[in-house]
Amino acid sequence: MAIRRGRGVAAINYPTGMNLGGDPTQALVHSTPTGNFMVTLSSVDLGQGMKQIMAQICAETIGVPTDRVVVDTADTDTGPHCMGTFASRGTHRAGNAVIQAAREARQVMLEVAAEELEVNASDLETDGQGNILVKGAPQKSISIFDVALSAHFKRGRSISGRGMFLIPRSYPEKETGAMKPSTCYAHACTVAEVEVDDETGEVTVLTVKNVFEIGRALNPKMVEQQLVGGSWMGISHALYETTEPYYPNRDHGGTDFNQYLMPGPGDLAQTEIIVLERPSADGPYGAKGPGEMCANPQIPAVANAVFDAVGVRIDTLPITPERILRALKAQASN
Amino acid sequence: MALALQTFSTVKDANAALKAAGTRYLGGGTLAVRAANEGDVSVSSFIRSTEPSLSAITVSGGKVRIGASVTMAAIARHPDLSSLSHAAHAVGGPAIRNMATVGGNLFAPAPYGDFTVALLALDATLSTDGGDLPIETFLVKRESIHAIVTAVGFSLPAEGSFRFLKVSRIKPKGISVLSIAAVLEQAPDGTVSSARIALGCMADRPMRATATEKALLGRILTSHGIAPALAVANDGTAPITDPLASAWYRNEVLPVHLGRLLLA
Amino acid sequence: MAKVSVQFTLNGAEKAEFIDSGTTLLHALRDKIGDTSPKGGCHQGTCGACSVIIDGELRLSCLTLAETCSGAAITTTSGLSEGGVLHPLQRAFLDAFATQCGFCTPGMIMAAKVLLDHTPNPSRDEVVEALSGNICRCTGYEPIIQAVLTAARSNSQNAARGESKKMELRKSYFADQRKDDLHEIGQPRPRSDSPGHVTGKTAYFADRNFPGMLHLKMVRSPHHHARILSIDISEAEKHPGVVKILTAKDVPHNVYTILILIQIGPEDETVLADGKVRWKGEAVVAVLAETERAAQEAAAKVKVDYEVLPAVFDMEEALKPGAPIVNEYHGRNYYLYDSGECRKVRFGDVEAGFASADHVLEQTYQSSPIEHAPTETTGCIVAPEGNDRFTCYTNTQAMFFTLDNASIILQMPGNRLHFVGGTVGGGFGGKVDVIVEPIAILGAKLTGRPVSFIYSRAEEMQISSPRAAEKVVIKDGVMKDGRIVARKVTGYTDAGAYSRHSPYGAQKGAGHYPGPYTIPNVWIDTYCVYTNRTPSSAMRGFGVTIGDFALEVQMDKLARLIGMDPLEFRFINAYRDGDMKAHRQPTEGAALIECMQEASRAANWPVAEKFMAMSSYAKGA
Ligand SMILES: Cc1cc2nc3c(=O)[nH]c(=O)nc-3n(C[C@H](O)[C@H](O)[C@H](O)COP(=O)(O)OP(=O)(O)OC[C@H]3O[C@@H](n4cnc5c(N)ncnc54)[C@H](O)[C@@H]3O)c2cc1C
Ligand code: FES
Ligand code: FES
Repeated sequence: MAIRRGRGVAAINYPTGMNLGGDPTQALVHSTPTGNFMVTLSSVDLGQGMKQIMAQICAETIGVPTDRVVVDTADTDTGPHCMGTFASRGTHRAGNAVIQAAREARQVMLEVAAEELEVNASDLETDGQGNILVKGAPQKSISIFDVALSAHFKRGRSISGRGMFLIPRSYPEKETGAMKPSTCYAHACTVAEVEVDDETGEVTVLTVKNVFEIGRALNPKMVEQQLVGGSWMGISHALYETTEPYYPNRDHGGTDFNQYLMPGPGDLAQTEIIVLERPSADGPYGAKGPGEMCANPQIPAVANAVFDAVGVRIDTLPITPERILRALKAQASN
Repeated sequence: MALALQTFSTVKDANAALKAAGTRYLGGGTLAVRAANEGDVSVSSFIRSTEPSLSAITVSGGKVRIGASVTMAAIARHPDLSSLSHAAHAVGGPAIRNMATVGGNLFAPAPYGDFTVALLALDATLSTDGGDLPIETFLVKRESIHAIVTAVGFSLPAEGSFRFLKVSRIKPKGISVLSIAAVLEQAPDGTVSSARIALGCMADRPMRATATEKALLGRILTSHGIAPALAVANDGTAPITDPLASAWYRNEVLPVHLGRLLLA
Repeated sequence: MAKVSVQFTLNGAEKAEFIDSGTTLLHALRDKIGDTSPKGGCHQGTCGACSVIIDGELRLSCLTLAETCSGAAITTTSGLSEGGVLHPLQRAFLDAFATQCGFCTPGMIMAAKVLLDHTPNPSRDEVVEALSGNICRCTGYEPIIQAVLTAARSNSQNAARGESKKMELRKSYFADQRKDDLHEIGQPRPRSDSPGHVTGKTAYFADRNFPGMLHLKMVRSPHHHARILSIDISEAEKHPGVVKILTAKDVPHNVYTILILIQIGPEDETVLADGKVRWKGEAVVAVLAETERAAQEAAAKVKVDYEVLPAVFDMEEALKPGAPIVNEYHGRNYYLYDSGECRKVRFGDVEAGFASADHVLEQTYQSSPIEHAPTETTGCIVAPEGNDRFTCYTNTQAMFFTLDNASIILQMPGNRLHFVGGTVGGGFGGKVDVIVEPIAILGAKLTGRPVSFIYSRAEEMQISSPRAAEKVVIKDGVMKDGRIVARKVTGYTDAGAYSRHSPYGAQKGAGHYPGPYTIPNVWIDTYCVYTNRTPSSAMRGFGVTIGDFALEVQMDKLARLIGMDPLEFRFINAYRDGDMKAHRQPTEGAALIECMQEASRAANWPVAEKFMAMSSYAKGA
C-alpha cells in the first residue's frame, strides 16, 4: 500500500449581501432612562452571533461599552423589517442600519449633554466608558447615565434613532448581463495538504492554511469561530457530504447523522487561520460578510491536493474514496 | 394504539407476552425506540425482562457466557474480555455503547451488527428458553425468531488469536463500510492451523469468509502467504449499497483491509 | 393511554411524575418536567444533543424510555451550575468560544462531564473519543475539544493532527486604508448568548410548550412523479386523537412561490399536493392530532391512490425535447429568465479569444446535493392568541419574508400574524424556505389550538431543501505566458421540482463567474433546471460554492497544462482595483493578491519575487 501526499491551492472571492441588492434592513435604537441602549431589529441569530455583533456596532457608534447595549431581535411585533439572515448579509446590512440609527440617537444624546454642559454639541465627544466630554477640556464632562435621566425627565427628549440600509436593486441587462451583483467582496486563499491511500481511496486532510480577507474583524474571536467552523465545513463538502450519494440516481439518500457523513472530531485537519482586513467602502466599520465564503476555498484546494497526491482528477463532488478508487483503477488500466 | 412498555421479571413471562400481536422485545432500544420515534406504528407494546441473568457476564474455564442485555460498554471494560474489547468498542459512540446490548446487535441489520461479526468468528452459541442454536443458524433465520435470546456463549480465543477491524468513514465513531473479525491459530512454524473469518456489510447480515479461511490453512502470514486467501476474499459476498459505499467499493477494498488485518 | 408513575432524582431533586407508558425520557424531561436543556436534534440516537447522565453513565434520553429510569439519578446540563456559579466545563466552553448556535452544547457538556468524572486528566484522543457521539455543525469541533482540555487543565501531550493555531490578524496589509482607533469594534468581547447556551437556558422555538398543543405530521408522496387519483381520509379522521386533517382544498392560496415577494414568479409550488406530486417526499396530507403517535398512526391510515408517471432526474435528460414535464407552472424544464432560457453575460469576443489562445481546455464539473444539517431541525409552534392573531415561534432565518409569504398563502392580513424567533440552532441557508409555518398556522386557525410542526431528522435530511446539485462546464483559452484570454462557463443548477430560491441562485452564479480573475473575453450562461427531486434552495455559499470548486480546479488544470506553478498562475490573472469585470462593474476593494501572498508565506509555497511585490491597488497606482 502507499500513502501518498499532495498539496493544493485555491483562491476565491465572495459577494456580500443579497445578489443584485434590493434587500433592505431596518433598525431602531433608543435609550432607557438610565442610559442603556436598546437595539430593535427583526434579523435572526443563527448561531453566528448576530446579536453580539450588533451590540458592539451600536456601542461603538454611540460611544458606550458593549455591555450597555441590549439587542432585541426577531419579533415582528416590535422589530422593523429585515430581509433575513442569509447571503452573508446579516452583519453588513443590519450593521449599517444599526450605525445609522445609533448615529441619530447619539446626536440627540450629545444635544441633551450640550444643554446640560452649556456648550455646543459639536464640541462634545464620548470616551467610550459611558461619559461625554468637552473636546480639549475633559474635566468638563457628564455621564451618559445623567444625560439619559435629563433627557427623559427634565428635557422631554427621546434619545433614539432610526436606521435603514438598502442597496438599490440592480436588474441585469438581458443581452450583456451588465449588472451590479454586489457592492463588496471578501477574499480567501487556502492551501490544503492531504494524504491519499491509493489502495482504498481514503483521504486524510493533514493541514489547511486559510487566509481570509474579510474587510474588518468586528469581533476577532467570533470571526475565528466562523472561520474555523467554515473551514471544517468546506473540507466536509469536499470529501463527505451529500444527500444523494449516487446522484442523479435518487436512491440511498441518508436520513440520519450516521449516514450523512461529516468529519468527526477525530478527522480534523490541522487548521491555520490568517485574517487580512481591507475595509469595504460601504460595510459597517468596513466589515464584509465572512460567513459563507469561509467554507468555499477548501473544496477546490482539497480537490487539487488529491490530484497532486495520486494524479487523478475527481471533478465530481464529494470526492469519495469510491470515486478516487475508480479513477485510480481507470488510470492503471490505461 | 398508543405505545406502552411491559416489564417482566422473568424471561418466561416476557416470552409469553411476546406472543401477542404488535409486541417487540426491547433491548437497549437504540434501534427499537428509534423506530417508534420515527413513526413505525406496527409496534404498540415493548416487552422487556429484568431477569438478572440477562445482564451477567461469566467467564470460567475458558468459556464465556454473556447475557443478552449486557451492553457494549460492559463488555469493553470487562477485565476477562480484553481481547474482545476492541470489537465491543467499535459499536457507536460512548452513549450508544452504554445502551446497545449484545442481544440487539444480533438483530441489527447491516451496516450495523459489528459485534455480531465478532461473535460469528468466535462461533458463538445463542441461548433461548427453547434451547441453544449456533450463531450461523440463527443468522439465517433471525427474522422469524420471536423468542428472546437470553445469552451468547463461546470459547475464549487463545491469546493473540482474535483480530478485529472495522472500516468506517468517520473517526473515531462512524458506522461500518465493512468489518472483519478473525480467529486465527498458528502452528509453531507460523503456518495457519485454523481460521474462522467473519465479515460485516458484505451481505445483508454477517457472513463467513469460508473460501478465505480454507485458503489460509497451512499458509504463513506474509503478503505472499496470504495472497491466495485474498484472491478469494470476495467469494460469496453480496455487499450492501448504502450512503457510505456501494457494493462495488466494498468488494474492491475487502481484500485490501483483510490483507492489512492479516499482516498486522 | 396507560399512565405509569416514575420517580427519579433530577439534578439532585426528587421527581415523581405520571407519564404515558412508552414516553421517552427526553419528552418526559422537556414536556412534563420542564427541563429543556436536553435537546431533540434527531430522536434517532445519532446527534447526541439529548445526552444526559444516568447513574454516572452517558445516555441518550431520546432512546431511553422514562419508566426504565425509576430510581435513577439523572443529571442534565441545567443542573451543573450551582448557585449561579458555572461548572468549570461551562466556564471553559465560554472562554474557548466553543458555542455558536449552542444547540449541541448541553449534550457536549454532558459527554465531557462523564469523561472528566472518570478521567480527570484526559488526552486529546480521549476527549475526541468522548465527544464522538455528539454532532456539532457550527464549530468544527476544535474549540470544543480545546474547552474540554482546558477544563481538565490537562496539557494534551500528543500534539497530534488537529491541533490548531490561534487565528492571526495580519495588520500589515492595507494598514493605510484602516484606522485602528475603535473601542468596541475589533475587541474579542464574550458573546452575550453563550452563558445561556452552556447552561441549557437558551430558549429555542421548540423549548416552548403549550397546554393542548397538537402535533402535525405530514403524509408524503412515496413517488417521484405521480398523478393523485384520490385521497381518502375517512379512516384517518376516525382515528382516536385526531383533531383535524388538511388537504389542498383547505389551503386558501395553495399555489405559491416564495420569491414572489421580489417579483420572481411564477407561483409554481403547492403547500399540499393538488392533483399531482412532483418529488418523492412532497407533502400531500397534514394530520393534526393530540399526540405525535396518534398523528403517526392516523397518517398511516390516509389512503392516497396514485398513478405513477415517468420521472426525470438527470438535468441533461430534463433539457432534452420530449422529456417528462416536471412542473406545469413552468411548462418546460427550465426557468425562463427575461433573458431567455438562461441568465447571460457577454463580454468581449470569447470565440476570438479561443482562436488566439495557445491552449483551449474544456472541462465539466459536477456536484451532488448537500444538506445544511443543522443540529436543530426546521420547525415552528403556533399559538392562537384568542384575538384572531396567531403567534408563530419559528426558527426561520427570515422573519418578515416568512410572515409575508404566510400571509399570502393563508390570505390572512399580515397584522394577524406575529412571528417570534431569532434564536436558531444553525441555519446555513436551510431555514429560508417558507414550508412549515403556513400549514401550522392554518392548523391553529382551523382548530383554535396550538400546533407544533417540527421536522424529523429524516425529513430534515431528505425533505428540506438541499444545496442544489450543479453542473459547470468551463472552456478556457490560455496563453503560454499564463494569461487567460477567454472563458466560457455554462452552469446548470438542479432546482428539483420547484423554484424556491433556485432561479436567484443560478443567476447569482452568472454574476460570480469568471471568478476573481480579469479576463478580456467572457461568455456565461446559467440555467435553472427542474427535475423530479427534492426542491433545492439556498445554502451557505449559494450560487457560488460549486462554481468556485469548478473554477479553482480548472485553474489548477490550466496551470499544469502550461507548466506553470498554480499559485503564480493565479497571480498573473488576479483581478485588481479598477479592472472591468465581465458583468461590467469595475473591481473595487480587491484583496485576492494579498491573500495569495500571505498563503504563500504561511504554506511555505514560494512564488517569484515579482508576485510578492504585487498589489491589489489599481495597476500603476
Ligand atoms: C448513533 C448510532 C450509532 C450506532 N453505531 C453502531 C455501530 O457502530 N455498530 C453497530 O453494530 N451498531 C451500531 N448502532 C446500532 C445499534 O445501536 C446496535 O446494533 C445495538 O447493539 C442494538 O442493540 P439494542 O440493545 O439497542 O437493540 P434494540 O434496539 O433494543 O433492539 C433491536 C432489535 O433486536 C431485538 N432484540 C433486542 N434484544 C433481543 C433479545 N435479547 N432477544 C430477541 N430479540 C432482541 C429487538 O426486538 C429489536 O427488534 C448504532 C446506533 C446508533 C443510533
Ligand atoms: S441523539 Fe437523541 S435527539 Fe439526537
Ligand atoms: S454550536 Fe454546535 S451545533 Fe451549533
